[in-house]
Amino acid sequence: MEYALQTNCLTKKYRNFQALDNLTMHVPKGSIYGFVGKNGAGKTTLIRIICGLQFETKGEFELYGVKSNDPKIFKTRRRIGAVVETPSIYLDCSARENLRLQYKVLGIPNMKGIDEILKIVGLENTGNKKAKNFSLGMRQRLGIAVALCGNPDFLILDEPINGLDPQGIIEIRELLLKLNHDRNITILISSHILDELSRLATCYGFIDNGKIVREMSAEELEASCRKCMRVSVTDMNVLVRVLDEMGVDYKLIDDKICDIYETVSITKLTLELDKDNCELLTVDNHDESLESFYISLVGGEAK
Amino acid sequence: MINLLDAGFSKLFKSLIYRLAALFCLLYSLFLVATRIIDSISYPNLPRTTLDGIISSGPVMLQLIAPVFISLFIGREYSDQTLRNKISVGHSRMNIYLSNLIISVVGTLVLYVIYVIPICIFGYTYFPAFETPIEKLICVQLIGMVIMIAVASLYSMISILIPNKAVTAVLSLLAAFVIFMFGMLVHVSLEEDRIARGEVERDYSILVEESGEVYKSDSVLSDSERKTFEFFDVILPSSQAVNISNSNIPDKWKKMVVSDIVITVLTSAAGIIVFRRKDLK
Repeated sequence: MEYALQTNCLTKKYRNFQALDNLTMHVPKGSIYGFVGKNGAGKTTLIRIICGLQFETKGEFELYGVKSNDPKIFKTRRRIGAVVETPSIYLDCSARENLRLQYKVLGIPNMKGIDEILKIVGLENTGNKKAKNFSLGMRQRLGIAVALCGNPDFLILDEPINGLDPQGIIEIRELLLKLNHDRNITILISSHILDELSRLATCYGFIDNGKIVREMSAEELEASCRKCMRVSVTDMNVLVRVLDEMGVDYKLIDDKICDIYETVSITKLTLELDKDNCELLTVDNHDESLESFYISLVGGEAK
Repeated sequence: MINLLDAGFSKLFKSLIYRLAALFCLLYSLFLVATRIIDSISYPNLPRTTLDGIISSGPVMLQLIAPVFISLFIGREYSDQTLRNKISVGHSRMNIYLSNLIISVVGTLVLYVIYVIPICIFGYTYFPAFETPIEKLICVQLIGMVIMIAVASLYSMISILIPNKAVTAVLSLLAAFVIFMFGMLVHVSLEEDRIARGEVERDYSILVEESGEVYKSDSVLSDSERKTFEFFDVILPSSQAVNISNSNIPDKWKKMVVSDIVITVLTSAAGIIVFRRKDLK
């Protein structure tokens, strides 16, 4: 598999705090990579390092195969567009002026692409309105527009939907999906709004205390979070034997609880268990959300 | 770096704070010319004074204006966080630093020219030209520009290394005032010392006459004090600016220029070294 970004044992230490601890992650080309972690887990620190705003203490990363200690990394960074935390825009300029300035920074003489970018992010009708008078959602979209200048192959977005209203969240989601589908832009999106992320991401990286605790595809995650029937019994050995005989897919949680991933007849199951004096104690429908999956990964209790 | 300069100059010349600084320089220059014109009208029997005394005093005023526009202009890169856009698309930090330095220097020199132009226009039209020969006048202006390059370099370093616009602006202005006041103190102390020791030919021994009391300068500095003050008189941009403000080329002009070059190189080198390794948030 080809990767847009790979990190290898990346470590970042501040004086008394280790923000990244031998972090290793892989962002496949063309994917929407959901970077999940609680506040202070190290998401923004990693993004800052990739963007060149901060320096790693140890380890390295590769951007499109170019290592972070290779002088070519500066040129390779031209392939990325980033919105780190808050949109980086000149507040006293209009949307068009902001894009013109970024075009100049990139050395793109032809400004024709500006109209198209403004249209993509839905800011084509803002005229001379200054960015300081924009709503939060408009600023966020302008930040993404600035990041899109220069046709990046890789878009890095740090908490792009923070503080947005539901309409704004939908707009950003649709925009990102469009960019990924139409332009095949790889997107790394960090967030702790997990439900929203689950509507976008094609693969995930879960970070906790500066470490990647798990990387998985959306399919793998869906399998882990799929709907099931959670039962508790008095004798797990009997239940296992019965389920094997019935040929259903199940997973043992502990010596009393088991998740059954297919629909089975409760009456039939109860009768079969009763034959070996095993009692069916409880039956619940169980639907593990991304949130509870994350909590189960990093420890703690889901609400 | 050309791309950064292109974007930077576009932003600078559209910046409200820079336009206000330019307007202030223009109005200040016109105000000084106007006072001389009013004097010449008020006292028609006296020969018209020339503008030699004001054409070279631009650096004195710009010592306080340059820090304001530089700190606010560069500080904006931090407050709007647009500095990230430059770094994340692969511009090296050295290029970013140098482009900001060049923009600050050029911006300061443009303000200098804006100050000088009205004085030149009136100096050669309404007034009977300048007493100082044109070559000498140009030399003084060039020394003034070298002083301003050192000043711009110093405040560029402060503005780039402190990632907070408000703190940068306050600190720059504070530093400008301290350097300005200290430069004045040094210059006046040395002047009084020269008067007290009779080095100055003209009779300035009676400096101030107030309430019938005659004040005589007796401020003779010790040798070590004099050497220290002379050292600062050479290296401080504010003191240098006062030294050239009467359109005379000071004896120590070479030392002044070397000192300005050293300030420019040292502040730029220190700024680049620190900025290259600085973690930005």
